Amino acid sequence: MDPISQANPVLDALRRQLAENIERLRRAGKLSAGTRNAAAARSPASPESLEAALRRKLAAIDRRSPDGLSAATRSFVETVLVAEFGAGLLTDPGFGQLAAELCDSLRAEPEVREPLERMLAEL
Amino acid sequence: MSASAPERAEQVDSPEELELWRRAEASGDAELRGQLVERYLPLCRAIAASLYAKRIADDAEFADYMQYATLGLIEAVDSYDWRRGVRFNTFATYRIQGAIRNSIVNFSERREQLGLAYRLKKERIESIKHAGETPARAPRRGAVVREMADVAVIWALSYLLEGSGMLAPRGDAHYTEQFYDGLEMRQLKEKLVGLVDALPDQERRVIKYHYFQNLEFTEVAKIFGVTKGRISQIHKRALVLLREAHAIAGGIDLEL
Repeated sequence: MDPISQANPVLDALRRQLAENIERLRRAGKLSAGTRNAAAARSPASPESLEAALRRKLAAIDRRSPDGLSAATRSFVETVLVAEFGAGLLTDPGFGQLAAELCDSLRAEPEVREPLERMLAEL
Repeated sequence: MSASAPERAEQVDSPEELELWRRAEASGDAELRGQLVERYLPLCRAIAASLYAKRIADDAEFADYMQYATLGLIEAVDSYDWRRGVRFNTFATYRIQGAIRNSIVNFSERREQLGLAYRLKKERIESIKHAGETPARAPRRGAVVREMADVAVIWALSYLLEGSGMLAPRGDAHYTEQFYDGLEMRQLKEKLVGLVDALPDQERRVIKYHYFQNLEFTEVAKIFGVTKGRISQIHKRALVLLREAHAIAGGIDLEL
């Protein structure tokens, strides 16, 4: 396994290269200022605010019911994706399909499902 | 009848191309070999599109044509002898067409097609299912939430890139989108495809080979001259960096 560490010198060098490449694409006219709020876009939800949002959503779900953890997983996936990619996705018909496929895949992998369900049960 | 000077000029590769071939042969460098493969990917796509447009059965998708075309290109790069004075485009065109035709003939069963999609998906999942940093012991709940969110986002990026070979280049006759995608999803996918070009070289190439050309990690590993496990690591890192690129460029529109 090759865990991605936030304090990884190789990754840091690649991040610098990434920033340079984005700047190069921007200078070449392949990127332009968009309509979304740039500051908000550059500040993804912090773990605390994500956790708070998850708590709010999960409070409405009975996680001890037969389908409780499945519903909680769906809620988790939707919350995380919206925090990452924006609330505009919620109105897109393709988003439901993406969330459903992602839930199925996460739950199909025991190495992911077990810690995920543990976390969802404890929140 | 002998060819005129301009016609002759078109029958040989440019000095720049010949120099690249010379250097690749002299050094045996996998990086240069990879550059050669990448240089001719547009030719590969054009041939795949042409044969796909003339297909007589629908048992294979455009993505399959692209995969076989890319494998044909790789074989052509490995067997081309620039000293013979034949343009690489001419040499490779026959081999790429042959690779597609041979593969499609042997590809009569839909099961094989599903098999490829299954294998591609499985190796992606193996690569990314530990996307987050693994806490040593008794992690704080916030850290667990963040780690699980990291896994979900990286996994979602992989889904969003899936089939993205069909998205590029836009305006291509074979541009397609999922029938259930709306504007937001389509724009997100296009943005991610555009941001792949911002990735560092190695990561960008792995993403393009795997998602745009539908090559399995084993096949990408052969191009890079490294192990499949190494490609799996680069793939995961590429998705982590793509996520960061999206965060940096979140307020930026791609000029498509």
